[in-house]
Amino acid sequence: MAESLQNLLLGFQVVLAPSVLAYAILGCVIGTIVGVLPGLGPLAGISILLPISFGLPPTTAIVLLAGIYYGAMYGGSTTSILVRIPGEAASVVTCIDGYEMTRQGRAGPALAIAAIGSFVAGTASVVALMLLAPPLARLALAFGPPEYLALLLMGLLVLSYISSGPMPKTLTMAALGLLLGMIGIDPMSGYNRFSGGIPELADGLGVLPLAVGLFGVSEIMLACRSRVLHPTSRPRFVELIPSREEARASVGPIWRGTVIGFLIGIIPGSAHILSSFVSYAVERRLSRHPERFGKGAVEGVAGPESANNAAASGAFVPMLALGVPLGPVQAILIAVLIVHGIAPGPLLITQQPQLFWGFIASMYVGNLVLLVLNLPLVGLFVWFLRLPYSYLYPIILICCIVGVYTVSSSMVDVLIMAAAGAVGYVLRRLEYDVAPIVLGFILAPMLEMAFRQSLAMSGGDYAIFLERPIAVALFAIGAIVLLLGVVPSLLRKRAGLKEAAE
Amino acid sequence: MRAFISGLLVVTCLTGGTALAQEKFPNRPVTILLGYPPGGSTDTTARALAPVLERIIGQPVVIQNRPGAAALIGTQAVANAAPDGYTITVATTQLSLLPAVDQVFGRPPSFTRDQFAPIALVSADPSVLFINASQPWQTMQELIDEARKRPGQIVYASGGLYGTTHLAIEIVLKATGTKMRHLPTAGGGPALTAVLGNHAALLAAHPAVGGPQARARALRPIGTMGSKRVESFPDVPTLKELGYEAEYYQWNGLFTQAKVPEPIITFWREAVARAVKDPEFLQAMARVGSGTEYKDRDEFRAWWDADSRKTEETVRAIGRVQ
Repeated sequence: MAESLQNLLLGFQVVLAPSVLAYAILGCVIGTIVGVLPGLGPLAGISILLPISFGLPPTTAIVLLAGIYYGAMYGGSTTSILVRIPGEAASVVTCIDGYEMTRQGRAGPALAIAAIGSFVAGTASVVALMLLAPPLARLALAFGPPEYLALLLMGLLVLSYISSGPMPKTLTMAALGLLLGMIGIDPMSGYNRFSGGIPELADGLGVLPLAVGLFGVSEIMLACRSRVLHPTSRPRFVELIPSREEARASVGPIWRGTVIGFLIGIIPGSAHILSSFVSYAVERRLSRHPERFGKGAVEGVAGPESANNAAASGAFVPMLALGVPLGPVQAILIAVLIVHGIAPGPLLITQQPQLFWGFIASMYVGNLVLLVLNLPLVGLFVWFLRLPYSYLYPIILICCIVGVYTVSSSMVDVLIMAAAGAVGYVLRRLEYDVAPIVLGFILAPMLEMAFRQSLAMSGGDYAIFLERPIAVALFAIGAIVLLLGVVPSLLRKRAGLKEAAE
Repeated sequence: MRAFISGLLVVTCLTGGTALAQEKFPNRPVTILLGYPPGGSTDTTARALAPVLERIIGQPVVIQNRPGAAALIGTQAVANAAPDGYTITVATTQLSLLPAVDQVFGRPPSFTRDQFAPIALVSADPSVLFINASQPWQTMQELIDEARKRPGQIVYASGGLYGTTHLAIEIVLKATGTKMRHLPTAGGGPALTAVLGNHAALLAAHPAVGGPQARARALRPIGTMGSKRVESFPDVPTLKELGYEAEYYQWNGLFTQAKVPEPIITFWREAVARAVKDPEFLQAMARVGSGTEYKDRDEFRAWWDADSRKTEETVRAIGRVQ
């Protein structure tokens, strides 16, 4: 512990050097912009700025790029809350209750709670990262395809909590999402599935074009349809600050979101998007008033926004402790280290202490910078809502198109967004909820890959799912959660029947 | 008449343009268009070359990444770019691999190998076989014996179907007459993670990828696939020494379109020949742990032909999975 503190001091010495600090702040600012721009996620932001970082010293480069990464996680919630457009994939769930809060004139508190939750989650995760990285990384390695499959099946259970609509409609939408997730090259056989000979579809539909279309573009279309223009909100300063009840209701979700996010973040695979969905489902399950979810529950913002920031930090655990990338963002950061002649591996922490501890210290600093940056911005962002929608919406639509196009300079992505917008419009007119589509879409390829990889490992023997302790434990927990969910409603039905009989 | 005149104009412009270009190439910025994302080995090689080439040719060299669909999108873009020598690429096995995969699936190829003209080979590192350090086998021979005893039981990981890490192991299996189970993953990082977590026993990787893990004793290198030993692993024998004909390299070469006029190709060959000797280039390559291996066009073409034959044969041998 004393050693850690000493090392942390070394880290702060590295980071508080003006040149490094400037890049840490710059990274946070760019990240916030990247997060706010719809369609442009952290991965795209980092890829675009990567070549610039090659010219910087390695610690500075990593501090800059990591700042962009978690800055985008902060900023991603802004457009979700204000205009129902996810700024990046992990903020999709925030659209549900965050935007409802905006419609009730509580945009300011929603943004403030998201920023504070992100700060708490970010900071707490860095502490965990600093103290527990090596043992946690070993735990992460224990997650092979069968364990991952068990975890993802629990993700399927989450589906039933993500929408407040009737169950048949929710499951129909989830099935649609699962089907859309099948598009692209099948990684296990190399076949192109449902891609219609369009090379851009070989990698599947992107989650961002899909989510921006389903949530954002459909919202704009619905708004155009209504003859009565929405009244533009003119909040007073007091209305920007969370009320006492809102603050109290957010404490639990923020801490639970932090723990859930961090643990999911450590696990290999791109599960960090799931962390926000899981947190949302947990809050809804624990809430005494689950019916408030989907109608502007502050817990539905606080939990997921904390979870996605904690997951962003958690994902650094295996990268720093073992030198293995979990997701595409970490793969790029590892490439940066390699370009600078630093071989990321299990010996990184001992051989490059100034890099590891500098990085850790930069995350403390970065989280603080982001909080200081984002809280005053709340007022500015809410001010945008004063613009009449006839001006605001075209501007937003242009931002969506530019953001989605920039990611891979692809018109195909823009068309996917437009088509998803049209589909989202029709579905929402028919009162179908679009959130389960996105969750199904994210889960489908991961579920399929984990299932088929498991069978590839065992040579087709299903016993593999029963031979591995972690997988078995996760399957058991999933089964218990499922029973806990089903039994009460069955009992209620029985009680209801009895009453009816009497 | 009008059409004739405009046609004439076009012809004059074209020939005039060519004459100008021949006078001085290049007279505007040059693009290195890549099929892979930033940070990969074609990208780091291009970035090591670009500043040095800029100095030599006196024009800016812009690097453009167009990743997607296993490099197909960017590679196709190179094949279809104007054959004026202003678009070059750093490429690797994908030039012969992707058409071969198209053939296996009976699809028309998105591009063909003969749309490209080689300029020079700049790097070639042998693949190294790494096993999880907790596996019992100490030598390559022990692994081969075990694979013979339990055919199709040992699991190896790759970064993806038909990718370099997949082909390398398939070549080893063919040379040693053994069979193993294939666990494809979503890239080099996940494949490494799978072996570190012992979900797969081995993988074939670039020496720089497995190096740090080997130094930390998490992985054990047991065989290399070059014609001579790898500098960073002097104690690890080549498969050739052990009597198995299994050579495989992860290489990077410069290419342009086959239709580019010969004088411009000569220009690029000379520029690259100077660039690969430049200390700045050598340092940048050493930093990323990549060896340099220079072969000029003619020698490279023969080498590339052989590599392509091996790639096509192996892809055909794998065929369609399931």
